Amino acid sequence: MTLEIIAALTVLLLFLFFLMGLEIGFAMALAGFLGFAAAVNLQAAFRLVANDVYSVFVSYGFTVIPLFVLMGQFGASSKMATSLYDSAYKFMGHVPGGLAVGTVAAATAFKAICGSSSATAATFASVAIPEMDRYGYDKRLSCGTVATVGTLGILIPPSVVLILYGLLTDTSIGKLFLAGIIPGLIIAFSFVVTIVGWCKLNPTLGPAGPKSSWKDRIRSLPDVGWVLAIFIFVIGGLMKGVFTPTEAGSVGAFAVLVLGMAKREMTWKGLVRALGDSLGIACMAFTMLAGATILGHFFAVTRLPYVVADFLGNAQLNRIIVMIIIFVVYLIGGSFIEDLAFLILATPIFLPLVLKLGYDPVWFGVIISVVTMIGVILPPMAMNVFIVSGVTKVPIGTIYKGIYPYIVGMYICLFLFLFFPQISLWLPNLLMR
Amino acid sequence: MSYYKKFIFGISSGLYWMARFALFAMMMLTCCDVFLRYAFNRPIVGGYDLVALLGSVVISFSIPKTTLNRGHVIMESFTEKLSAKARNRFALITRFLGILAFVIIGWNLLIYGNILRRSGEVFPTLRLPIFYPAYAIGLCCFIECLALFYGLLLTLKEETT
Repeated sequence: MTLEIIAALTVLLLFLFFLMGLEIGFAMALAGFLGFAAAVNLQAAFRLVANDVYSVFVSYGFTVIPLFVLMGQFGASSKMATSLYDSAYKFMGHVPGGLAVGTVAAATAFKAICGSSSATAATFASVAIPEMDRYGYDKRLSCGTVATVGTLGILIPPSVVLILYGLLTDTSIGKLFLAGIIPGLIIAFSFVVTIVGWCKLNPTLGPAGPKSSWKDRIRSLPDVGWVLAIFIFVIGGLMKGVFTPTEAGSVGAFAVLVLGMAKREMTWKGLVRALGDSLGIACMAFTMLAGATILGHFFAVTRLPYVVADFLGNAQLNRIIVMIIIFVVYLIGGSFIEDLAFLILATPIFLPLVLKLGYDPVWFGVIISVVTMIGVILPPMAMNVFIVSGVTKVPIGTIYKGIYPYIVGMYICLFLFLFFPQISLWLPNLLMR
Repeated sequence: MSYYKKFIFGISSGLYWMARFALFAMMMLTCCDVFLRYAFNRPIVGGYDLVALLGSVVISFSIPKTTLNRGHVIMESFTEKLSAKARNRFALITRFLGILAFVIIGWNLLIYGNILRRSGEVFPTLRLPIFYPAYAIGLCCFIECLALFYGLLLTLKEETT
C-alpha cells in the first residue's frame, strides 16, 4: 500500500471514529497510531504514542493552558463579571438597546482576564439576561447578544484558542495576544453597531432603562480599573519578556484570586469549583493536543500537509480564494465536530499551505480565531447557543434568530482582516520587533 | 455494579483532588519563582522542572474524572439521530476503542518509563529522574481504562433493561 492510500484510509477511519461518538482526542490518537503502524511498523508506532503523550504531558511550555484557564475561572467564580456589567449598565443603560451595548462592553473588559468563550457565555447568561428581562428586552436581542459576546474570548487575549494555536504552530504567544487586541476591539465595535442599528429599526427590542447619576457612574469605575490593570500587567509583562507565558498565566491567576478575595467575592466553594472546572477544560484540551501530536507525526510521515499545500498551491488560484476555501473547510468541519477540536486537527494540515502563500502565521492565527468565533455560534454545532439556552431555558431557535445580525458584522470584519493584514500585525510589529 | 461505581468514582475523585492541589501549587510556585527572581535575584532552583512535573500530575490525574463527567469533546450530531438501541451499540464500540487506546498508551508509557530508568536520565536542574512521570501517566491511563469500562458496563446495563 502506498503512503497516499494509507493517509486516505486513516483520515476515513478518523471520521468513522468521530461519527461513532468516540472522544475526539482518543480518536486522533488511535487513528494516528494505526496509521503510523501501517506506514512504518508496529514497534515504531508503540514508541511514538509513548513519546508523544509523555512530551505533551510533561512539558513546561504546555502548562500555560491550565494556568490561563484558571485565571478565567477565578474571574468567573469571583463575580467580577457582575461588577463590570454594573459599571457598563450605569453608563449605557438609559439608551435604547443600552443594556445590550453594556453587555458587550462588560464582556470585552471581562475577556481581559477570562480566555474561555463558554465561561463568558455562561457567566453573562446569568448576569445580564435577567437584567435585560427586567426592562422588557426581546429574548432574541438579550440571548443573541450574550451568546455572541462570549466569542470575543477567542480573540481578545488571554485567549485559550490563541495559546493552543501558538503551541501547535510554534508561534510566539505574546505576538498572537497582541495581534488579537485590535481585531477583537473592532469586532466588539461591530456588535455595538449591530445593536444600535437593530434597535433603531425596531425600538421595542431594547427599551431604554433609567439614567444613572455621574456620581454612581464614577463610583463603579474602580472595578473596571482593577481588571484593566491586571490585563496590562500580564500582557505587558509577557510582551516585554518579563514573564514566560506560563508565568504570565500564573501571575494573572494569582492576581485575580487576590482581587476576588480582597473584595470578599471569592469563597472557598468558588475556589474549589474554579480549580475543578479548570482541570476539566485543561484535560479536554490536553487529550486533544496529545491526539493531534500523534496524528501530526503520522501526517508528517505521509507528507499529507505538503501534498495539500502543493495541490492548492499549484492550482493557480488567487491566494484570497485559497484562504476563502480554508475558511469554508474550517466552518464546515467546525459544524460537525467542536470548533476548537477541528482547529487542532486542521491547522497543522493547512499551515504549510498558508506559509507557502506568503502569509504571516501570526495573522493566520488571528484569522482562524475569527473563523472559530463564527463557528461557535453558527448552527448546527453552536456551543455558546447551547450554553445560553441551557442557563436561560430559552428555545435554541429563538437564540439563533438573535445571532444572525451579529454574524453579518463578523463576516464583514473577517474580510476586513483578510484584505488588510496590517490590522492584526501592526501592534505586534510595533511592540515586539 | 454499585461497588464498582463507588470504587471508580472514589479513585477518580481522589486523583482529581490531587490534581487540584497540583494546579494550585503550580500557580503558587511560579508566582514565588517570579517574585524571588525579580525581588532578590534568587529564582527557585529547578522551578521550571517542578512546574513541568506538576503539569503532568494536573493533566494525567484528571483524565478519569473528566471521562466520568463526560468532559471530553465528542461529535454527537450523527449518533443523536439514531435509535436508542443503535446508539448503545456505538457506545459499546467506542468504549471498547477507548479502552484499547489507553491500554496501548499506558502499557507503552510503562515500557518507556523502564527505558528512561535504565538510561539514568534526570531533569536538567532538579536532577530528579525523569521516569517518574512516565510511570504516573501510564498508571493513570489504566485507571482511565477502568473509567471507560464503567461506561461500557453502564451501556450493557441499558442494553439489557
